[in-house]
Amino acid sequence: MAWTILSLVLSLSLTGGLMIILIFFVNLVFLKKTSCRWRYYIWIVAIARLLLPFAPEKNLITNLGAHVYSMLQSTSNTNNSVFQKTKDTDIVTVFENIPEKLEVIHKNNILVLGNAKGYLCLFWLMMALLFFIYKVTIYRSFAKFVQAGSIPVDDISRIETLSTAESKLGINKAIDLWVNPLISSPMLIGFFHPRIVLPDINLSEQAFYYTVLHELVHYKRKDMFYKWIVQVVVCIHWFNPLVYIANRSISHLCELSCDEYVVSLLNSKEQCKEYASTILNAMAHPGSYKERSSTLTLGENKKLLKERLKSIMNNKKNTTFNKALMVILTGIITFTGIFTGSYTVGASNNANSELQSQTETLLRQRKIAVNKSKDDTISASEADKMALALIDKSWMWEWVEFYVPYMSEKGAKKLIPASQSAEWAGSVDMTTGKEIKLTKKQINKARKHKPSEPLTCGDIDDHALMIMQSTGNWEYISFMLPYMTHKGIRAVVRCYNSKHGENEKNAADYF
Amino acid sequence: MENKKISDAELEIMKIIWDGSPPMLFAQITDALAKSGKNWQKNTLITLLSRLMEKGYLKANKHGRKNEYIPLITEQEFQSVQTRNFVDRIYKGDVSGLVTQLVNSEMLTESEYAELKKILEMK
Repeated sequence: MAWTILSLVLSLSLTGGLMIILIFFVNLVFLKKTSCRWRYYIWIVAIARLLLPFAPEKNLITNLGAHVYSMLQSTSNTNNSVFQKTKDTDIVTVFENIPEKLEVIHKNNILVLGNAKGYLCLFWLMMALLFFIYKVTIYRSFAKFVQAGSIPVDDISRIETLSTAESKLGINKAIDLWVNPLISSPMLIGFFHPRIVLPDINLSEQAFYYTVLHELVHYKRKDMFYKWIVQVVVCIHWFNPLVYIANRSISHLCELSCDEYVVSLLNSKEQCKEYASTILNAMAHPGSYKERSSTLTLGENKKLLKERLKSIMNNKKNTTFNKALMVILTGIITFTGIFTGSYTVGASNNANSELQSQTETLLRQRKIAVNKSKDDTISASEADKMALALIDKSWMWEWVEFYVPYMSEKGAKKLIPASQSAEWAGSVDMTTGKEIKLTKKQINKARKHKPSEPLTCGDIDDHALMIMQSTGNWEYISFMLPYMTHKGIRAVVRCYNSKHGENEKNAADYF
Repeated sequence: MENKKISDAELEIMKIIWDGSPPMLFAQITDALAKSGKNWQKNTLITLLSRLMEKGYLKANKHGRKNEYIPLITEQEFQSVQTRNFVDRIYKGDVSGLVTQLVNSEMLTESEYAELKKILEMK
């Protein structure tokens, strides 16, 4: 669990980080050829990459993951090469050990790293939550501060101007207008009941119109939601410095593209100048609450202001070439974003199933090797021994019948006397009320089946497991153990343990 | 209720609702405003109405997609509260000072004076 979450977050951070670098440089290289709006929204690709653990099945990271995985596996592969050098007689034992070694290697990885990963995962989660709570608290206390010192603007002509701006932008919602002399710059505040708060209402009609237009554009484009999604990403990827760069770039571009939008609504150079001076004046207003200092230092603020004014005055229409370029760049970046991919939950399952299938292949190979070995056929006298031991313990004819075709003539003749002196001799069948007796007829019938293949260890494995599954009684199978394979013993022990509590018996004790 | 200041525009709307037959629909308020020469935009009216609701002067009942506005205070109640505030503020709570001022500045006509006298005698 911890492993899945950690690798998921790390892979998202890695691929998201690559996307941030890509977008950052594309924005830098094509600064003059792309609009602020495009540069602002192209970040969504990186945000999505950092947030969404979905990817096509074949992607960069799963391939990378598989590569790392195969490197891990190479340690166990040395075991395989040992096997190739061994002689035929040792095949069984070598094969015997491989799956266990694989298992041990796998378990060690998880055990050694498991604890550390658990703590790391917890640490990551704690930090992410702390960051998020911190951001929400800051915002809430700021909103409260603004609310407390605010008074509604009663001047009906101002509200009318605001309504005019709203209808110009096609905003249906009526946004309230407040004034608070304690804040330093105009703002839009509140998620569900957004209102524009101005530091000062004594503006010229034009300046007031431009100010509310700017804030309404923020509202219309739902910039607040974009910013908060970015904040969530920052909290999740708090350890990734690239995310902070993206965050800063996005908030700069948010203002720049908002200006760009407002300017596109203006008609003349004269109006652009008025808008620029409005922004300049709004910035110059001293506020008592340091709401800006948390995000931007004064120097940066000046730099951003300069950039904003420059882009307002240099506003130009997009050429067809630039439009085509932006479409192509969007395509390339989105495609890269999708196919950089991430470590998905599905991929981790694939890795596990890969291990499983490898183990299975080894087991299958071992089974073939076992079958080929000459030692694993059960002789008639051995079948005699097991059948007689079984008849002594149990009156279940079906279980004994299994051995009968393989038994020697001599052995088969001993069955009836053995049954008469067995522990259960004289028992009565509860359903029929008759004494349970082994008859010659039963034995003769069973001996008519002539098996084409000799009895093998694998057959004993299956038989012992069947008895263990139906009875859970160790005595019924204990005499079969010398003729069983290690795999068969393990299966029987596992079955026994599942019926009698964990780790009751250890398979290795019976090898 | 007493100290929730009401702006001129807000009072305008309250008067329309009191004069009309509450509950009033949004469109009815717009029509009445237009009659008194106030062609405010839709969002302006919504803003003012929601401020009045926040201040506790009005209540809105939803009827499908339409809002019905109901005053939570009568005009008389409103006037008495406002007068009390006015007297407290300007005449330091002295009502006779207000009446003296009304008579001296000839704001009270002869007939109004007679009417006032009648009301006082009845009490």
